Amino acid sequence: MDRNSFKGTFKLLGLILRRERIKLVAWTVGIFALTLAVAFAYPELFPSAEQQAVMAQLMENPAMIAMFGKPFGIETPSPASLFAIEMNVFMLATTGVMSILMMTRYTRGDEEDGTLELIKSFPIGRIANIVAATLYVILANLLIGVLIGFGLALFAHSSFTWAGSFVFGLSLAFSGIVFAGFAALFAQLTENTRTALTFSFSTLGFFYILRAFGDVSAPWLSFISPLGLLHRTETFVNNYTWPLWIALMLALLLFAFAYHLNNRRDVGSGLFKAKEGKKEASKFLKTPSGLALRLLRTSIITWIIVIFILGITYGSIFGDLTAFFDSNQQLQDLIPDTLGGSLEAQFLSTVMSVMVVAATLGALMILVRLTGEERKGRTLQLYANNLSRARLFLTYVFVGFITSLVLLFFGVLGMYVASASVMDEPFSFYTVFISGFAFYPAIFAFLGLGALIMGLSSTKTWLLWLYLTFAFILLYFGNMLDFKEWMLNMSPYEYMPRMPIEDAKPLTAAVITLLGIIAGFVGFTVYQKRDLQG
Amino acid sequence: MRVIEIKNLKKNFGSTEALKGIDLNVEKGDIYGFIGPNGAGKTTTIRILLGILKANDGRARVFDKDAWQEAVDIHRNVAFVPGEVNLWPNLTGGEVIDLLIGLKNEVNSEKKNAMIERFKLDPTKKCRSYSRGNKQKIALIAAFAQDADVYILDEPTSGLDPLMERVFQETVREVQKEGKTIFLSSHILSEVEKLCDKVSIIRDGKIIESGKIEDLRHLTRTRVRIVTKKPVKDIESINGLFDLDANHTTYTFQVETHTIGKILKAFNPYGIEALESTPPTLEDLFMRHYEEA
Ligand SMILES: Nc1ncnc2c1ncn2[C@@H]1O[C@H](COP(=O)(O)OP(=O)(O)O)[C@@H](O)[C@H]1O
Ligand SMILES: [Mg+2]
Repeated sequence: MDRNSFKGTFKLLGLILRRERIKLVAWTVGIFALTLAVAFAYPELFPSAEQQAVMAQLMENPAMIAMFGKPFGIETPSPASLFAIEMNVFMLATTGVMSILMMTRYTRGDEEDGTLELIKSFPIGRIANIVAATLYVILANLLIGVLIGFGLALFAHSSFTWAGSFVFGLSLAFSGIVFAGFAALFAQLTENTRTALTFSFSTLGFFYILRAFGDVSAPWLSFISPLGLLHRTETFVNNYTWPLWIALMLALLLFAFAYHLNNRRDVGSGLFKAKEGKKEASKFLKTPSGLALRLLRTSIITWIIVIFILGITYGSIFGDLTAFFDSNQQLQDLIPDTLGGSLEAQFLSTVMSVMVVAATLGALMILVRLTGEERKGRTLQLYANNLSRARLFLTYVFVGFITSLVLLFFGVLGMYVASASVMDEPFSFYTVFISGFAFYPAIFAFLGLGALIMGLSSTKTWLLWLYLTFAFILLYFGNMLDFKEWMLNMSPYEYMPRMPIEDAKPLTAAVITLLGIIAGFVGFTVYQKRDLQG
Repeated sequence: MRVIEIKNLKKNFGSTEALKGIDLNVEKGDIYGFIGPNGAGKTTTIRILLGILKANDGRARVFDKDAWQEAVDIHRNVAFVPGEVNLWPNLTGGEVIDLLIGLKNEVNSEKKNAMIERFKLDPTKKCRSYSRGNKQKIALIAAFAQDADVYILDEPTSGLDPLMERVFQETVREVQKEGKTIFLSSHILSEVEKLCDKVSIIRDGKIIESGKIEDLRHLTRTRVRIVTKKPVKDIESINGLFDLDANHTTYTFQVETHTIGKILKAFNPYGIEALESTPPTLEDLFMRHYEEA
């Protein structure tokens, strides 16, 4: 690598900024607005010192720790410190997701589209492209971090100090930069965008789970996870900056390694080589469902493994939960007994909601792969070969439907296996099962909505992700934040009973299921009537 | 028998009028060329014929069935090669060929392998590693190994090398001999000229010329160079000479092909010493239409 390797970096950076300005603004505004909206809510939710103390104690419970991260400053909580305890890990993961998407788009994505080949025919340095992408992601993250720093310090409650606000904002930025580093690395190792994204998101998921395990029972594990590490900034309490520096070093290492690989390999290639394939198609592959399953196989299996591990992780906290309640008489008194059931049972549904959202996400991603096929111009040839639109559409809907059932089942199974092995009086399988599947009508409604959006257009799936994110935030933070009634009414999850504490609501379940069927049917109908992209 | 019938076909994308009312008829056994520059509306027309896009107005019928309503029925007897071949990166070429044929009928291995042989494809590679030309070969093999009645090909040779182009032309002719119909879009004139019996020229969403290749040739002018013994008197009085250039006894000009006999008669009295004529090419016709703004 010499100076020439970088030639044209800033021109390319300008090009990326021009191409991407709308997405950049959308991500920045979205993350900024979400952070500030939640920050504004905290002082109102917990106005008195007593309420803050209760909340702080609740956060010490292993279920909460697994979901939100290790609490800090429990003795002297403030609205700001409670905000940081609950929001930090979630926001760290959010900038991580953003950075992975951005980095992959401008490295492997451009390479796959052939744009990079064109760019490289100009007098542009060998690694200029990946450096420009890096600068872009760093800029985006710093922009978000600094904006949040100013936003919290200037506009939020007085407990949001300047130092704390900036350490909070910067922790998000550095998380984004670290995961951009992983994305840059995987973009070199793999041969196509989807594999690169799968590797990067699996890494993010792995670090999230590692942090959950670590925070509950083995603190050193959390330090290995960038999410756990950056949460150790303990913003608004201690404002440590050393995690930021460690994260920066890690990011530099990852980028250096990625650049090194990028400099060495050919455009279009990856380090993991494709092996020689079959000369003929199996009988199975020649059917539409065979083709769909073959294309989706890896994703489905990956999702099953991920959700099973997630289930085991969250199931294993029930052991600590029992110990926690036994040792904390004060908290036991606080939780109303009127709901009935054991204390563990009351948390089952909360913890289960993580499995439910994961199953929804996985099934939807499988379902809408049909729009991806269309965008990439691959359905054209299928339809020209005597395959009806109805048949292919229904194939994907059916695969998505089965996937949702299988994923939720494996989440439930993971939780049952783990909880049964750690609890003194374990839940029965039926209890865990019913707690998860009580949510199923909502997942089904999401599938219907996915089919509707897919029917309307091949380029509007982002609407689906936006809505799912919204519903997820309501579900995830619903226990602590006081969402408005009308907001809650907009998410199908909120209609589902929290079993085993609450009773089943067959009528609600039927209505939500019916809505899903109607949406899906409309999607199915319009899909057969619209122009296809390719 | 009429295989493809298009009447007053219109298609808008938002405010762009991609097709402004086109007419076109393809009979059984034709090799029909559909030529026009990039963006003329060829792909749009083909996608309407396949029922992928819905026309805003007009008629598009294949085998006397409505292209939109009865798409699946029509596709039973249609083989298609798209303009831009997009394949599944993690399947092999061989798998894709089987898969595409298999959606329609039983794979005839003999026919398929003969085609693979002919187009010199290595079917064991994953699609992500194939070049553009190789992807096109996969689509062509899958199409020609099918038992279809009409072959709709959208710029099928744009990525092939000259050798493969010739293989392609041979294959098309063989298919025609079996009584099949071929509808072929292209922006390369020489290819259409070599292969097709009939053509339609599309520009800007309108058909500007259509008919048998020979008939279209009549529309073009032959370039003639004549050397006479004596200077021709009163050359201006001879009708039908275009772009005349006289230099002593050497005359170069263009004539409408059907007037050539009459004009030679007028030159005869002056003693023709040398005569050269350059046959009309569709290129001239094509260019003439392209240049008209
Ligand atoms: N999906 C689309 N959306 C908007 N415009 C389109 C779309 N498809 C084609 N067009 C426009 O329609 C015109 C005809 O395109 P096309 O049929 O692809 O031309 P050709 O195949 O002859 O090169 C072009 O001006 C093109 O830009
Ligand atoms: Mg085209």
